[in-house]
Amino acid sequence: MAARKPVRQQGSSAESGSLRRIVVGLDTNVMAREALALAARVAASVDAGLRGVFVEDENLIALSGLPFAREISFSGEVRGLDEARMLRAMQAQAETARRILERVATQAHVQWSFDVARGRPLASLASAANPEDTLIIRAHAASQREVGRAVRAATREARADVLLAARGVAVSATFAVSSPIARQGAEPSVRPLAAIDEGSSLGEACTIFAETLAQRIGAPFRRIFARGFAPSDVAAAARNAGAGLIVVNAAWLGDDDDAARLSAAAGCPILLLGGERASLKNPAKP
Amino acid sequence: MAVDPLPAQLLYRACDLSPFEFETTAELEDLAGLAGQERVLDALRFGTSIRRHGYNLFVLGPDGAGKHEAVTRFLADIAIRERAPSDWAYVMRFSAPNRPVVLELAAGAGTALKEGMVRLVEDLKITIHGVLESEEYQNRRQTIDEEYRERQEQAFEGLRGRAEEQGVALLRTPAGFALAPVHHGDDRQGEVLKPEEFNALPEAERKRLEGIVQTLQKELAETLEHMPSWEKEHRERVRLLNREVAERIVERAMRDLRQRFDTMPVVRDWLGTVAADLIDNAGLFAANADTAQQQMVPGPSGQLVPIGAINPFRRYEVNVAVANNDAPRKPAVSPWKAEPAVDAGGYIGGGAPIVYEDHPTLQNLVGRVEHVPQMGALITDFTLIKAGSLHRANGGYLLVDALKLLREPLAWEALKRALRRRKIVIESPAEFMSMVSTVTLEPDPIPLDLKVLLFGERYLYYMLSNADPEFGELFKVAADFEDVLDRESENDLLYARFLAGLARAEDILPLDRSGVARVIERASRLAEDAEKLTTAVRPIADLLREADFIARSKDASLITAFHIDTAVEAQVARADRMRERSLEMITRDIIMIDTEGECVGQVNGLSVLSMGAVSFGRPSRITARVRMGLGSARVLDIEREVDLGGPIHSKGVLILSGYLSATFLPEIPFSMSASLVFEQSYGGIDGDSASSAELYALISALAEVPIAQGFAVTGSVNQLGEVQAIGGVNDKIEGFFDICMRRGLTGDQGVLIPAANVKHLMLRQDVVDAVERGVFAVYPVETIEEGVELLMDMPAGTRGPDGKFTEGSVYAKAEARLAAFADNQRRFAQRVDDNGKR
Repeated sequence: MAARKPVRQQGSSAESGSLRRIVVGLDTNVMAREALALAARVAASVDAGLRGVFVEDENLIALSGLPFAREISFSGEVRGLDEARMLRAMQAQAETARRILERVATQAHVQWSFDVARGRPLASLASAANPEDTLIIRAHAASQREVGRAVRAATREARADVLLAARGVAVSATFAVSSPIARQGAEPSVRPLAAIDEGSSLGEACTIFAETLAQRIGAPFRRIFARGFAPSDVAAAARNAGAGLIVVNAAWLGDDDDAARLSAAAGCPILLLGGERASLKNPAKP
Repeated sequence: MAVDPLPAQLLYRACDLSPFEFETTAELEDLAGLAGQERVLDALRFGTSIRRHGYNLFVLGPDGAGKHEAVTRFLADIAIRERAPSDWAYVMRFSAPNRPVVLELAAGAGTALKEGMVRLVEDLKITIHGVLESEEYQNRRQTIDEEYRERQEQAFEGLRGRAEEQGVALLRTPAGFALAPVHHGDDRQGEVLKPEEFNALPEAERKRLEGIVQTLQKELAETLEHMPSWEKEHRERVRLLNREVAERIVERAMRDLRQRFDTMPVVRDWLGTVAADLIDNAGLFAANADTAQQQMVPGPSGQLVPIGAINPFRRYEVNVAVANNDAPRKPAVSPWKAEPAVDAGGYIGGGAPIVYEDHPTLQNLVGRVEHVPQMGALITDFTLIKAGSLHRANGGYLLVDALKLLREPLAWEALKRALRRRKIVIESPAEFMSMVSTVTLEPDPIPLDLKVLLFGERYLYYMLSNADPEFGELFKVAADFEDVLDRESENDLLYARFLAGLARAEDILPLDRSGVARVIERASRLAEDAEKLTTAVRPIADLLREADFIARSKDASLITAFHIDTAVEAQVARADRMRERSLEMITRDIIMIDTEGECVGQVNGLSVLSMGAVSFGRPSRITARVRMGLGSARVLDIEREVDLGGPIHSKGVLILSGYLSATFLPEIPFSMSASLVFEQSYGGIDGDSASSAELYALISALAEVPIAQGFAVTGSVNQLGEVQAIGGVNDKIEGFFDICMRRGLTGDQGVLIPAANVKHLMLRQDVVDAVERGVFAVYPVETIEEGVELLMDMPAGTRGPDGKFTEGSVYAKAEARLAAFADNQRRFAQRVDDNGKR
């Protein structure tokens, strides 16, 4: 099912300020499309590849085997369910998702690939991630606990990055530099990119990465010193700075739910740098 | 009674050069008006000045008379003083897209509106997009979206909470939602029970879970029923937000445009609807690449189409159907060329438009609505409305050839309908014939105020007058072109100025006086009258162009009589094949024509053969035979019997019977049967110009007096024996002369023509020369008796006091023969048969 393979870039991603591959879970609902659009913009901004993964939800397959399984359509109609029908519906949905991915990626001029997995949607994405991936998570349907688990799994176990937009956070202005109309406008529509520096060497590395990334995407850069401050204070500072994206070390956040709470409080997505980047020591500035 | 041959000077009227005070036509001014066409000028002045319904014009006259050029020249003079008419533009009627609005704008304003709208849309693309991407707008929009989502979430969260409390999860399926029992309180919390796990549960537990799921399903279905109304409410809130944001931007962006068109109420009103539509559809300007394909927008015809399938901003375009301007009309437009002055695509310039529709189909006249294929269907919108010549000529003059118009299906009726209704309604021929039933447009009609000038030959005018009652109502003014003008010194000078103008316009070398004189003489020959000049422009213009070519090839700086003569000879030579073949057939005796000797009951008649633009004279042998008849004077016209004779020819033959009956044996019943035939004639014959020849042949046969075959005869005759004028006299004389010339002129050869035709003689120089040398003759004949004496070299005879013709005369012999026929008839009638019956 995979299409063209993403371009593999060499060298340190912190040095180049780049994200190598953007991974996004695919679905056909509006929120998933928003996430895909965001993923495509991110990929286009940093010349990364785009990987779309459609996850066949194990829960739905299990459900369809139950004797009283029913589906209530969006119009309120109640229908019977069985496993074969559910699988057919998922295949059709996967194909639709693939077409949407292809169109969005083509319009954004990014290379793309498509995969189908089976499991729990967020958990499957997180467990399948590898260190060169940046996982896009648009928290909406999933519970906070599910999101937290997925973020932890991706950043700490798979050592990947996660770009998380909490429920209620607008993403349309993030990485919106590629629009020709926006370029014609009198005012720049790109909001600043803020890096959280908690004073450690990891924080320094994170700041350098964020500054380089800001330069690449043409966004203003803000550095927020976080030593001794609670995440809520940092979120307020980021909101005051009008940040369109916050870059932070995943390790700095403690609780599984902290990342989603920070994104929601700051009103913008948050890019959590995973263990791979955190392990880099004294990265050189480009 | 002897008739003298005509002197050479009466055979050709040379142009008198003495009134010409110029050396070349370069010294002469162009002719301002139409020479000899005062009646046409009056009609044109009247028809174009009167602003009443139905006063359109029909310009009638022969082909090649220069009608188009003359009328165009006349119109160009008056149109330039008239006001440039309005521009007309089709635009979207937002409330009913299938009925585009037509806007009347001041001349030149159509393009300004079109450009203004393009600028407006481009401005709004930037400004609205910028505002919609602004933080302020995004926050407000996000708030609305979030409230909508929260409302949904709350509804689902409540349900989800109650479900989770009971060990059931609310799941999203590909096509809706579902409820399923899940693990809880263990490390597999949230996972749906697999069928085998569920089946392993105690029955009571299974039933409990099923009951819970069924109850929750009902609640879920009720919740989902509210969703459409929430969605609608959400969309309305977004629309109001967009509206609030867009109102100010649109108002500011349209300020200049509205000011510019504030004095045009129709445009002002339409711009008001544009503003409202822009505000309602501000979202169009926010659409970006990510969402373009997913959004449905109102299409140009009102239907919903995906963004990207068509340009959604087409609805704000302006389709300028007619664009006029006040720029001055180009000076020095040739009065002799229709094309530069009248553009088939629409004449635009200061003043009223003059449009010549060269291809007057229904759609070229009234315009059309084009369609384009899209996703397998033919669709259209107001931008695909194409103006017709009625649109472009509106406020001015439309020139159409009547014959072309009548040949086009539905076009004549459509033109009349437009003139009668005084408005242009775009009609599709396919719809008329119920050939298509695709979605189409009903554009607003455009008020029509113009003069239509139809061009055609006279027969068309009279045919339309008789056959179409509406024609007279709609084309009340006839501008009838004179075919000829009098050949007088004054007109010769006017003609010279006409030639001067033509030469200048066509970049032809000037003519010297001899050249002018020769063209005038040629114009006289074309008019078939030594006292008239043709008004036909085309043949004269052609002659000048060809003479110019010859003169230039000889490095001459002026066109002289020699160049004109050479050009005429070349014209004749190019079209000479048929004439040459005809002469050859006679000289090789395949067609039998005697030009010497004498013969009873046989005469050379003359006819003109016309094939297209070529015509030439040719002799034909006419023979007559007589015998005793059955108590009447019956002349059998063999041509008529076999349907080769036309009605006029038959009439001429019947007249002969009248003449014979009145001339011979007035007291005794006639007993003669005669037959007449054009020998070796296999085509149709019509006209009565051979009737005098036929009469000579009859009299010769009757009197048994031979006719000299060196003569040929033309002329019609009446019952009184008077010879009447005929047409084509020059061609006929030259046709017989050519035969005699080829066989060798004997000095006894000549042609008898009606005396009334003498004024028409404009013969070729070689004929004139032969007459001058006395080797050929042309005799003007007034009566049959004169002709009889010439042809039979014997007195015709007059009836004396004794009631008898002169002794020994032709008529005496004829009457004696007729008397013998009558006597024989009487005796034959009294004969008794074997049974004693008479």
